[in-house]
Amino acid sequence: MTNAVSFRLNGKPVTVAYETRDVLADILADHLHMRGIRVACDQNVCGACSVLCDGEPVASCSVFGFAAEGCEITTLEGLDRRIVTALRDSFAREIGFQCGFCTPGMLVTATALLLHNSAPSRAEIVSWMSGNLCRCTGYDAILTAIERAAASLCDGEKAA
Amino acid sequence: MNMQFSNRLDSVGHSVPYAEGRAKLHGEPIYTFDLALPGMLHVKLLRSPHAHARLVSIDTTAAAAMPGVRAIATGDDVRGMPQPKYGKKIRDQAVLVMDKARFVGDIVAAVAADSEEEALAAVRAITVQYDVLPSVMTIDEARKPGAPLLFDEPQPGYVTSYQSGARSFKEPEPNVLYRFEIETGDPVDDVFARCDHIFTDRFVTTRLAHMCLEPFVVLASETHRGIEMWSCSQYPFQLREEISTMFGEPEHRILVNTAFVGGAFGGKSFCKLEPIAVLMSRLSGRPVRLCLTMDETIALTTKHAAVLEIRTGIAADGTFLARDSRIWLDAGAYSDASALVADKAGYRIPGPYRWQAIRTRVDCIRTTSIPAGSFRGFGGVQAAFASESQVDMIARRIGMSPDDIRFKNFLSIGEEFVPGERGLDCDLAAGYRAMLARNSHLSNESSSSNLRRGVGSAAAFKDGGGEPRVARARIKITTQGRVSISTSGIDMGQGSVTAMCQITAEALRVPVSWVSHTAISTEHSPFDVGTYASSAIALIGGALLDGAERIRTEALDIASGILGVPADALTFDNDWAVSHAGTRHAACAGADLAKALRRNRLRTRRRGQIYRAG
Amino acid sequence: MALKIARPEAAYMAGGIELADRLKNGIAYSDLIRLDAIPELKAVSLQDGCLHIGAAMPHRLVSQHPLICQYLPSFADAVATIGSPRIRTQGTIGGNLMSRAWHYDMLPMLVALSAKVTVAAADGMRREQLIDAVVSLQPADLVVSIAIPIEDKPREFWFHRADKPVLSLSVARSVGDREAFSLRVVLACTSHMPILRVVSDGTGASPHEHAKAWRESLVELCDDRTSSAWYRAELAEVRLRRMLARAMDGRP
Repeated sequence: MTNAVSFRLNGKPVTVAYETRDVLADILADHLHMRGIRVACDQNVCGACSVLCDGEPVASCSVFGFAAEGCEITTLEGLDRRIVTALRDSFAREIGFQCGFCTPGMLVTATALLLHNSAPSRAEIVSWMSGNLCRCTGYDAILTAIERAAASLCDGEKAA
Repeated sequence: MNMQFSNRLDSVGHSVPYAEGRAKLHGEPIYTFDLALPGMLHVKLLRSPHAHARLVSIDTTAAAAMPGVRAIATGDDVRGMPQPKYGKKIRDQAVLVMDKARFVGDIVAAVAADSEEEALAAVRAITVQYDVLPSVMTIDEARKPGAPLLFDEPQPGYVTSYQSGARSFKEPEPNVLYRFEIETGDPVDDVFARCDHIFTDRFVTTRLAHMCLEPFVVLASETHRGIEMWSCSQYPFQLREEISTMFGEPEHRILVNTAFVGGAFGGKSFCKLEPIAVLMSRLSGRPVRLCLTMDETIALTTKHAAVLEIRTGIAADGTFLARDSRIWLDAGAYSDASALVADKAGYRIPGPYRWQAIRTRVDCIRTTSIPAGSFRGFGGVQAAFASESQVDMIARRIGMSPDDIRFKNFLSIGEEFVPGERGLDCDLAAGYRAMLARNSHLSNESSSSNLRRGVGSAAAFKDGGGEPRVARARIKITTQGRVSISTSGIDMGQGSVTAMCQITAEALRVPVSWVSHTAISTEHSPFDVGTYASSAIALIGGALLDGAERIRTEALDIASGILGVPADALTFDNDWAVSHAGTRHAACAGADLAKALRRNRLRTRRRGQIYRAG
Repeated sequence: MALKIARPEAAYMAGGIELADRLKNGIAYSDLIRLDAIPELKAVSLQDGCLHIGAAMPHRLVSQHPLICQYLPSFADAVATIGSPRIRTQGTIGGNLMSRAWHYDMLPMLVALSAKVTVAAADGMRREQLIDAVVSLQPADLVVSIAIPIEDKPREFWFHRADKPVLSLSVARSVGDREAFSLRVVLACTSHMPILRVVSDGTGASPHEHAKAWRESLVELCDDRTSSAWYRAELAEVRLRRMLARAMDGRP
């Protein structure tokens, strides 16, 4: 059975026809060709499928198509440029990834954190990121990368 | 190898950008999980709900009539295969259950349909009659006299004949899949008789799931050209060999492609469910995709649970004298890599220490549970946990510091750990000492705070290589003097591609950014047994150095011809330049060299050499 | 409610987290009854000495609501640690309670706080009951709101959750006790139901002694889910002692 849903994707309005069984991850990846939508556990445990809905992290594998109606959805492609660039540079320096499967989810979730809180403590970073699993790195490099990105963004602000 | 490296290294030893880092940070990599083929069918599996049951009958008629269903396979479709079973050394796992289900999740049937939903619906419509049998879920249960047997007959397979006191046995006892034994040094019981103290302790480790974020996935397409697969496997060439043996298709008509791998850790090693995908493509005449859910991937393979009983005899001053170990590994229902795991556990249980006598026996026990297989340092981790724990316990019992007892007994650099093997290639004592020094601040805390800190140290040893281990590499120079290397080292995130580019860049004296690594497939990439045992960089790196040396030699020959100067008067310099008598000649840089190399290659081809390795 | 009674095969949906899981596991529903747009279910108000919180309120909004931050700041902090940021965006109090999952956090926290729950039942009647009665919910029942008794000053509340979870501890001082204190201690995630114990200081026992006394009964009360009963009991004693020490001193 086909339905239609309208929402804003990375700032642009879209209307998509989807099957009742489609979740937001299916709509974003298969219909709208967004990158970095990785459905790994499919149970809202691992966070690899994270996107932002009205600025807050949600699991796209567990959001029904219709629940996205009228929402502002942000994927990896549409994240705040300044923040995600600082995060990418920092992740590259600290090597906050290995196989890369969890990385888009990490960047989405970390961007949401830095939008809420520009100077999070290490403990706050740990708590916020605790819903994003990584089987390769052991997390330390990821957490340090986020810490350093936050610091560089603050420095950048002071300099500006 | 005659290459000289200057003291200053430009690429190796430096923190260079991770080869595919930018792509990963932009969500760009295509994993096997992401792949789709035109006209592709989806395969879903029917799994046994019973831990142990005889398969009485399967009725797929209703399922076959359902919408979208293009093929259904059961054990009957597998029976006629040239080799319907797989497993390392001991082949006891059928592609689909032929006689009995031996664990909850054992695969009884497969359906290929136009969509996943249609495949799942058809799976639910298959009716199976089971004759439920008593299960054996633990090592103890499986070993009891009169315990239900997983197999009624010996399974096809072989064991390796070892030397130097090591022996292995295939299916030596009921529910014992494999046994590894080793006895070295003086007669063990004599040495125990001389010991001042003897300690016996028992250790237990649990199963672990790999839980790679990318689940197990494979695509297969059989056409008149042969069998083509897209696999997440860490061992594309071994997979090709297995498929060849099992389907009776010659290797040159089997092609295994790879994509990015979303974590493996051993869970994507050897043969797993790829034969099912090939079978379904064969039966349906279409390309197929078999992708497991996370739950199914956990039911595919786990790390071995283990029980380790270690009896250690020492002298009063803490000198290790004799160790007698019994290890039981819970191998689960099928062999997978259990024989290799047992060997490794057996070799590692004495730890990196000097002994007068060692006796070890490792048994892989069959239980009606998920087959256990490779998982990061398989066998060695369980053994190191038990061995090092006991070393600490023994030290405390005799009033010696756990560090001192280790220093007293560590093997020295170059010393054999078992007769006939290469000696230790590192100075353990020095390393351990350095580690303690670096962390001394952790133990030197004032007691004013109400928190106490516990500090633990341990030492273990690992062979970077496994055996036998073969690697080849090919280096191509483009017309712009850039470098394209081709190996079959699967980079699952461990950074091997980056390292190989660094090694090649260092050897050829070009910037790392001038080097890239090709995609890997059995058709285009040089042969490699697989990426495991922490060996890729050492071995493939070695092959790359070999190839780089040949290129340097050739480059100097070409330069020699161009400059009219003997080759041994020239020095290979950066960026394809050569130096002669203090003058740097860039005449051989880039395009000229590449063109010259191409001409060279054409010349050698006329002499009958078809393949220019490395 | 009328919808649900008319269509017994329908499912309630607020955040839809549990629902998504159930649907993926093959459970089918005739309809979905969406609750997330019903204002009454998201209202927060002060009445009769209680803070009323609508059951369809997502955890994130609960942890940030001004009234909740004013009267129950430590509870707000604890709610900010539930699940993950994704769970807090979509998950609700009602969903958390109605799932009756042994490892969820709302029930133990609310038991410690002596909260009451308003349930809309199939017969159309509403009832208010102690939060611990949530286990007797019928399939058509809907949790409408919770009511947490409050005081003039912010209520003291302590919460700790150990990995996996091995256990969680929620401690709140009983309301209205000015002279002698009485602590409601709830141990959860150790078996299928949270365990409440009231600790009063009439005995003069130290945190150490209280924890030790409880430890003796704990091994029966804990089971082996996700961790051994023995380890749970060991950890519970340590965590309880530390938490009681803080509570008895009035430290946050």
